[in-house]
Amino acid sequence: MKHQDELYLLQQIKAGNNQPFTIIVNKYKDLVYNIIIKIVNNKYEAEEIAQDTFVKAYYSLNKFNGDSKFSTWLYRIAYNSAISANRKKKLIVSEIDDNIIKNFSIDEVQENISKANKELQLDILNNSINKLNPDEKTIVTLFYHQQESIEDIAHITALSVSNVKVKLHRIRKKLYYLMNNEINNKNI
Amino acid sequence: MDNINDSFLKKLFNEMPNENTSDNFSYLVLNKINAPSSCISTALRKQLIFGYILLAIFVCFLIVYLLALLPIDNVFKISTLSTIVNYSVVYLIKFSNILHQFFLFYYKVSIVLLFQSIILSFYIIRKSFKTA
Repeated sequence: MKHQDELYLLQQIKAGNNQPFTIIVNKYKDLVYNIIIKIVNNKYEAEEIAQDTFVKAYYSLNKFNGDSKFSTWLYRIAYNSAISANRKKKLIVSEIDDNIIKNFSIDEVQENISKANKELQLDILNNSINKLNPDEKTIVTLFYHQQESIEDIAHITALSVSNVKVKLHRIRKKLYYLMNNEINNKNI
Repeated sequence: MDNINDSFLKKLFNEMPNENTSDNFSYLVLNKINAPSSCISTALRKQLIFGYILLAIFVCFLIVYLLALLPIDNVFKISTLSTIVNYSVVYLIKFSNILHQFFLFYYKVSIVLLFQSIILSFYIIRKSFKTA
């Protein structure tokens, strides 16, 4: 769907026509769901939050003035809903000392992962992502998986562009460190 | 900071399968939009209940304040109700007076509490209905 078509659909919805909203939901449902599930880690809860995200977006559509992409605006609602749902839970997240993360070789980890088969590679990546905290999971997924720009990620997470860059740099190192641990556990 | 554009990670992430929503997802969303009152989510319902509790606190504050303004001696004269009800009203006024004294003593706290409960309750109820 072209950007202009999407804007036309949004105008139709704002005018009170519900039907085009189905097209919008179908286009973004999986992307929204994928952001939320990374944060809440529960399929059923993620689906309910994703539905609520679209309901909130529908009722707040008049506040969307086109300053940013519609997807960025929608992801922000999804991110905020998921983070506030997560705030009530007590999550156990592994904190790693910055000095440990700094002093190990990424090239070595890349080389070791390359040796494993695809299934194992994805298993290592998934387990490592699950050990990141919700904020880190969102940023890394948006950047590497959904290939959002740093500016859009900054808008979604309400962080500054430089802060997102610093966080991404740190998360990348942390992710490699966690993958390295996974490799050692699996004896590759 | 350029190394954040890590092609190895991007490639690995690209191979990750996407999680999919259930088949009737769009139907459920539209259902929530078209029949909002029956589909208020648990979180919104909790927010709404919290709003009503705050509103009830505000009403209690208001009743206590108004009762404290009534002179006790005149209650017997103006009231045509039975003695039990009359005594109940008197004790309620006395209780209100004690609370009123407490509020006067801690007036800053009580004013903050009062305004907080009014603003919060209306804000939450309005927000809940808007979102629902």
